[in-house]
Amino acid sequence: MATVRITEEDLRSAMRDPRYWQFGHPERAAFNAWVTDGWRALVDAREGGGSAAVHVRAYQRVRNGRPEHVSDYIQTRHRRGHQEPPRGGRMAPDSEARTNTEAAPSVRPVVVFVGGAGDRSIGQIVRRSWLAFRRDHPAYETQYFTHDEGDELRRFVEAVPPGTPVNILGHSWGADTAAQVVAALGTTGRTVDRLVTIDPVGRGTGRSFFSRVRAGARHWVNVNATGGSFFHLPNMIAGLGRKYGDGPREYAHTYIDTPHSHEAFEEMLNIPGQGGRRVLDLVLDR
Amino acid sequence: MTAALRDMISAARWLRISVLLVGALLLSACTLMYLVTGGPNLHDIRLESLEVVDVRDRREYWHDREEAKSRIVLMVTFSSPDSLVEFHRLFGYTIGAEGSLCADSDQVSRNQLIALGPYVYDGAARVDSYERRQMNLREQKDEGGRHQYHFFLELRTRAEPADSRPTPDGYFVEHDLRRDPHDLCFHLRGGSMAGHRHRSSTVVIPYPAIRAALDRAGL
Repeated sequence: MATVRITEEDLRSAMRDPRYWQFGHPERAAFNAWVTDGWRALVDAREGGGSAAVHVRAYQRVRNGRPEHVSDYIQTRHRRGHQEPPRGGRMAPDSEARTNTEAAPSVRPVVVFVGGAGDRSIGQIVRRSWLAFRRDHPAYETQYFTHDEGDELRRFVEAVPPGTPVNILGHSWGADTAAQVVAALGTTGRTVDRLVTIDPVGRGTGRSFFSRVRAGARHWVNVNATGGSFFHLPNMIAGLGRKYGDGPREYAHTYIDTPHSHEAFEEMLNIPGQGGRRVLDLVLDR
Repeated sequence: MTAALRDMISAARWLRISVLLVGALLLSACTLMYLVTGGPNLHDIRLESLEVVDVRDRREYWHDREEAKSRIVLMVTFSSPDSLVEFHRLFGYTIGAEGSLCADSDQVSRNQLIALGPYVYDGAARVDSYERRQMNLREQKDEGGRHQYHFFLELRTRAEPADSRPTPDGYFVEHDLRRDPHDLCFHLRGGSMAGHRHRSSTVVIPYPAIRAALDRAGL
């Protein structure tokens, strides 16, 4: 197997490459795996008192099941004035790329978090939960979206290789977005494994809609927050935004009323659900 | 119906409408003022102590004690003249910690983030949790009348984007407390579902203090 010398700067540069962060990019899984392996090698070398550079297998993209020379790809993009190539093109010289092997695609179960209004930059109710989940559950591929990223969420799910478990958790407007996407995907025959809607808020309610949501998920868990007064600010905002309330009761595979108030996303993930298992346990299938 | 009775009904109707109008105007004015001036911020946050702990032993960290797993982290204790629990209760703000390698002028740098928190705790629970609001606990103050809180800082941070949306900044850096001699900076931030956000003053964690805490733990 051909190897290539990399440094921390090379890896940082690689993380800014669209192949690393762009949803639905055909090389994303393989490129992520390569970058992750690079970091591991670098950290292990440092902990062992080694140098600031290590040699790892060279990255090679695979398109339509066939290996291609990465350097050709980089040069083409560079000519068009797109993203800067990795520093010095060192990651995959031609001579090395020809003998590379394909990076294994990710087969980790996917857990997607979808936050409500202002979640990314202001309240971070769901985003913090996602950050903690990402730290505590490395065995899962995980992503975060907000309620206004329904198209991105849909593309992300569609890009997940068939057979990979996909679980989506949403809160408030984010739960509504998650339900809308699952309903739409279901009509195309692409179902998700678990959909968890935590106190959803939105206008896309109705029997027909709930039926499509149910059809789009192998298991739909809906949690309805009933605690606190209407004048508690998060409850008021949810109320004005039009909560699903108990609308999904007859449609969700698991329906839970809980005495929490609207913003208690983290707590509602941890309440006992079916068979005494926590809602989060249902997602983690344990 | 007499003319006097009709006048009384009419006056009552006008009175009710007037009260509603005045109430609506007052509410609008208050809302506008709140939106223009913004909500309050936390100031005078001070670093109190650093201690290496195992999160398995920290009750406040876990929703379910049976889930408790061992992980060695640095517990960063800080103090505030204001109660964070009350801050959350009054304004509906979430309260999280965010930190990085100290940038110029000792500020948190969004492209040199380190893994901490993201939650802030007192001895009982997360300060901005539903559970904490339900607890009827009297908050303890130290001798200086200040409230003490803490968050947990990972010994090692993995380099990765801080978010799934591509942004020009917002990156965690590869960092190991045991190896990399950098001062760290943190602040508290969060917001409410009404759209307000807050950010505290920045606190510096000097590397010698980190090294001393690690030395005490034999790391």
